[in-house]
Amino acid sequence: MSDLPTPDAAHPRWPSTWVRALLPLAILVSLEERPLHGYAIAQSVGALGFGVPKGGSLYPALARLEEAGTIVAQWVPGPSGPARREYTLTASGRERLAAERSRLTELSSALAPASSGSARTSADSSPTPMIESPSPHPSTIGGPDDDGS
Amino acid sequence: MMEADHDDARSRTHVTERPTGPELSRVARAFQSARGIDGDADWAELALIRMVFEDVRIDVAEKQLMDAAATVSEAQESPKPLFGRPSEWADQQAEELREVGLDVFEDPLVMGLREGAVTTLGVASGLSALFFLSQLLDLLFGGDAGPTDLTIGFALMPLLLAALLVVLIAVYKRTVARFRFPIVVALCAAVVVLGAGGAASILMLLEQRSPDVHLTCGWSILLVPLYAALTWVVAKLWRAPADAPGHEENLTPQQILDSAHLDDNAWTARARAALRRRDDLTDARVDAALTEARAHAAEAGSSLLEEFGSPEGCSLKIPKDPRTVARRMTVFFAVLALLWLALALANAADAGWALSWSVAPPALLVIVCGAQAVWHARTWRRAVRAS
Repeated sequence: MSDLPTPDAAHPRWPSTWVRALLPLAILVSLEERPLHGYAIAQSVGALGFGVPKGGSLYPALARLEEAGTIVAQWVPGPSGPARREYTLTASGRERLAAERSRLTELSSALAPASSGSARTSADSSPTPMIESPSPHPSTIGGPDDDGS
Repeated sequence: MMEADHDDARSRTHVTERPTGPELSRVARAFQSARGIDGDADWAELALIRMVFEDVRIDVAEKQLMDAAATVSEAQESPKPLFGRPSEWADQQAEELREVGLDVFEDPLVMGLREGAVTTLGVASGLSALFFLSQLLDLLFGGDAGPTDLTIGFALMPLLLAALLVVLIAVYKRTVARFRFPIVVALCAAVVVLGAGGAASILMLLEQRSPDVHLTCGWSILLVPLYAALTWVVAKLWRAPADAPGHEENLTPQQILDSAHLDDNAWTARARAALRRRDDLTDARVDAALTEARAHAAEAGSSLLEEFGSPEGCSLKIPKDPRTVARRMTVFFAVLALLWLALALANAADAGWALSWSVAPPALLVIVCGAQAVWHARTWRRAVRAS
């Protein structure tokens, strides 16, 4: 993740709708190599081009992942201060990360220009949908309402 | 599309008793006119009712459905293929509103004085019906005590019990935001004991001092319409603040300034209260979430308000813990079943351990509460396994 061009990690590089939808995946990516506490996860997600998420977005997403069993949390002593809650990827979380990465790769192939050939063809022949279809009627209150530009 | 319309026609036949209300009418009209098919209104009505049962404020639910009606109008498709089943769509909307942390939910059990008075009288009417039923069964099947005469104490009993129930709910709802759960349970238990003792004292006093109005057993049924009529009169005469002319809930400039300068201690206190009011998080989970939030804000060098937004909105975003409610309900119904069992045994001992109708109602309630306890215990176990 350090090889991504992130001149200013505080601001998102991707459209905000993508950032919102893929934040859980970005969290799993952040935890792939080592356990991290909340603030470190925020910095790591920022380095992925998602912008450093505010606590109000990050912790509910962490709680949902924890509830789903993809990550576990435990209190560990802080290096120089109070104890911190550290998050670790579970086996189920690793499976989910691998599956979602694979789906995104397929999606990217499916969206590639037709001239790029084989990737598009293989995506077209796939019998199953590449990614879960979005909500048929996005909420107009607090729902996705911008294009991130 | 034709198949979808056929589904609509079938679902329309199932909606036999329609609730009413201005919001419901407006939503139904919007869906009817979206593509000129009456059946679409049924989908909308069911979705609106479901959202209200999910505690979404009715004006917000109405807005969501008006937007959905616009989509139906654009697509000229039946709402079912567009959005799925009304219950699923409504649940999804409520979940999305919670996830984005919009404070658009209301708890119907948080009552003001007017709602408390109306609810007490309404519940008293319902309890009167149960009392009449109990007397009727006693009369029909030859209970030992025979028909009970109508006394002032008897007439007041449903009202006193209903008042106790409403006070209990009020105490629970007001203390749960301030204290840890075991303290809340202890306070509620104290209210039950004191309330039951107080009601019994009032009834005994009335029995001793006032002359009985000796009427036949059938007259007790009159308590049902009497309390129902009182409910209607109070609801009509005592107008809700929102209905009163000139009532507006605009924020004052001071309130806006106060919310923009919420310090971390005040934020934590309000977030703690909001998290506790949800009823589905343990005290340990609430403590953990707040400790973590404070640590994060300290590391980021910003305030809790900057990092997490409004405390109430933030508290809505934390996902539900499916274990907490199931565990608490299991314990609640198990305790209730034990109490009814104790009453059934006491009644049986009173009747000399012979078969008696006085044992039947508490015994039935033991079964009902026991079944509820088992059902919640299974939900609890499923939630634990899933996590």
